[in-house]
Amino acid sequence: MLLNVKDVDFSYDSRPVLRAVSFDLEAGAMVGLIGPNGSGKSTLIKLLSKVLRPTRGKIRFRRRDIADTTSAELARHVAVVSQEPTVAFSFSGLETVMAGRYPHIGRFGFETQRDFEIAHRAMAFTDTIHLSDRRIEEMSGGEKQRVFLARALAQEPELLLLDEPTTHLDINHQIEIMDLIRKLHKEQNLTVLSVTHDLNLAAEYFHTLLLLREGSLVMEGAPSQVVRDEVIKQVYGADAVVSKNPRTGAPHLALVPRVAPATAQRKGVKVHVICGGGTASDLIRRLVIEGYTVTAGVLNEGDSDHRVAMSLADEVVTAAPFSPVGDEAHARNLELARAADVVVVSAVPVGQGNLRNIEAALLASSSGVRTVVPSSFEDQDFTSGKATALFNKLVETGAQTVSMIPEIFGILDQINIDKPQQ
Amino acid sequence: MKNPSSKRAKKTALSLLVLLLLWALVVVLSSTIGPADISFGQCISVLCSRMPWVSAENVPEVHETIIFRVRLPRILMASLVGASLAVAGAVFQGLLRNPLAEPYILGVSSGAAVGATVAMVVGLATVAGGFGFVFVPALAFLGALVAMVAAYQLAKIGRTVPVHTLILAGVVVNAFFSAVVMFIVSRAGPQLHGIMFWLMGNLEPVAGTAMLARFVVPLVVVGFILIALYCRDLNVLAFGEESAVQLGMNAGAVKRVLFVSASLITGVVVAMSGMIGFVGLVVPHSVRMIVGADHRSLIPTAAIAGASFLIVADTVARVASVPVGAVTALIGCPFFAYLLRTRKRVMNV
Repeated sequence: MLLNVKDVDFSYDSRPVLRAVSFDLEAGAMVGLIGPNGSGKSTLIKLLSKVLRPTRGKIRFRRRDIADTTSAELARHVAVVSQEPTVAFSFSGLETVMAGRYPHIGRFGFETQRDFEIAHRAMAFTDTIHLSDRRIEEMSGGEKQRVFLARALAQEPELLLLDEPTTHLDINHQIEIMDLIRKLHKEQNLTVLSVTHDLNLAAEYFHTLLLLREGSLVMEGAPSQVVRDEVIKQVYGADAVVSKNPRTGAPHLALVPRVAPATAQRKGVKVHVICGGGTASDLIRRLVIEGYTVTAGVLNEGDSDHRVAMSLADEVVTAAPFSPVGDEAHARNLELARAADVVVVSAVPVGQGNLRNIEAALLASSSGVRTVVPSSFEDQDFTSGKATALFNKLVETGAQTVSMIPEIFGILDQINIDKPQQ
Repeated sequence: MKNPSSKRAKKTALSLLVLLLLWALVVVLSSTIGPADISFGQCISVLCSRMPWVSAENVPEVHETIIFRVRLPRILMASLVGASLAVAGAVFQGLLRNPLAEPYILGVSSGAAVGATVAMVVGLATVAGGFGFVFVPALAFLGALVAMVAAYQLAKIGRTVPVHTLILAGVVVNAFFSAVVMFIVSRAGPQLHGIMFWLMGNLEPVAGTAMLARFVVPLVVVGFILIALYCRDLNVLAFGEESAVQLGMNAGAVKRVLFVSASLITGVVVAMSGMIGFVGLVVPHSVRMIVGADHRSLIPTAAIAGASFLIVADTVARVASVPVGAVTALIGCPFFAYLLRTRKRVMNV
């Protein structure tokens, strides 16, 4: 066992930050430390690197209490990279990396050729040799972080502690740094413990996740065990949908925005959306955000519009996957369409299966419901003309044609004026 | 693979050599300037006359007296004080991670002045047959240390010392200790004029200076040696105290050693020369542009450059009959203003 944390408490002044934290880190582990802001993640890194002392409990590195080791001794085994390292003076890349040799050189010692070679290897590994003479403040965020990883590597550590190493980086550099950390773990046999607040990166890169909440370790396990809807809801208080990254299979988190009722000024205006195949996902989302009451139908289960509508709309008329619209569904769809203030038909491809949806729109339109249809629909017709005929009738009965989403909102704004709010 | 440390060492050695030659030139040139007309050539021969392997040519005795008894002591004193203040400035800047840190601006010089003034006014300097002079640098060091701790405690926010709070802390500390000095000096009686002139920064040897130097020089040497041993630590401290600990430094102890050393050299030279400001600002910044930020290069080059800088400033002061503190302030204040405007580019704080 490389690191053993046992019953560690820590308080800033008298404010408790960590409570009874215990975990073990095996050599060769790649562990992510996650948790909401203020849950004590960074504090834990500071305790492990002896910047702070636990108020209770023990931290052992290779069975030895780190309180009994000197900082220099610890720094020869444990290196830290923080989220946004700063340097007070304009040191060069190489000078920065050479600082990693500090714990290996005595007070009266000098840097030897060997120290330099170790620094050079560290820079080669992190692809920073070309930054040797560049001033730190002239580097990009990603370059700077690679140089600081090289500095950590120059310490020749066994354990690498990272405190949100990618927080201030663009997404491309986030991936670059995380890939590099994984490479360090694999090829340099480094044990890695990294704080991160990006759950997707955490789930992607770490073998084990530790979840902290209000200073307590509440969960430890594989990403698929930890990154789950109900855990996110419980610990972070956020609605999230966890799916799988289609390329890597790692748990992937999508956040669902909460629609604040206070902003829903258009409550009361009902919009029924006839759609499918992802043609109205953006429209439905925007309608809901702007506060309209949205219904949709008939949609097949598994359709991407169906998924969006199910999570956002007030009511969705559902049909079984790949099945045609049945009588019952058609009747309910028609009811919703007639009850709506506006019916919107999206640029949905129309086949035999969902032709009845267009009939429903036509029936609603002819009974006086304002209806909006796409301006051209030949491309959508997979019924050899039947759908086109229905569309033409819709336009004849007064349906308005639009070619883009903003036009729909123009029409809806008119309704808002026509229909004073209660 | 070329070892960049040796590359840096070569560059530093070259810079040191050039600066030493420059210093020698400044010493000779400054020796020629004064009311008595001594030419460059005459000056060289006077200086050479003391060298064992050079036969003394017909050197006028009066020239010898002027150079060795009047001008050279003052030049050497300027060298010592200039080197000390430049090094103290560089150390304070490194410790506080702040480009505007400087003994005078921090109020450390005022604190030292209080200590030295107390020793002089109370008459400690004259007790025990000359040995009492040790009280002047000793109390000055104590005063410098108190002022340093006060300024640091006032200026720090968490673990950092931001530029604006540092300047405000310096203003407060300076105002307080200056008031204390004024209070003491106003009760000084016949010594008043001498003390006032000394306070404004004066490198003119007075009665007792030679005695004082016997204590000051070894203390400065001790301070320099300690600082030299901790130059690499100053580099690591530039990454912040937390990083320094994570890189294996006993940061608390290291900082204490450096604070005490820098306060020591500041305190003891203030005891000798009064408050000469801005040397610790102008010199380290200028030198940093040439040799880079590595303190192992910066500290020795700043020492020699500081010596030359203060000789030049003092020569101007001699000619114009003003305190040297006024000359350094006239150069230093615009420099300070420039740094204040451009600090983001100079340093990432």
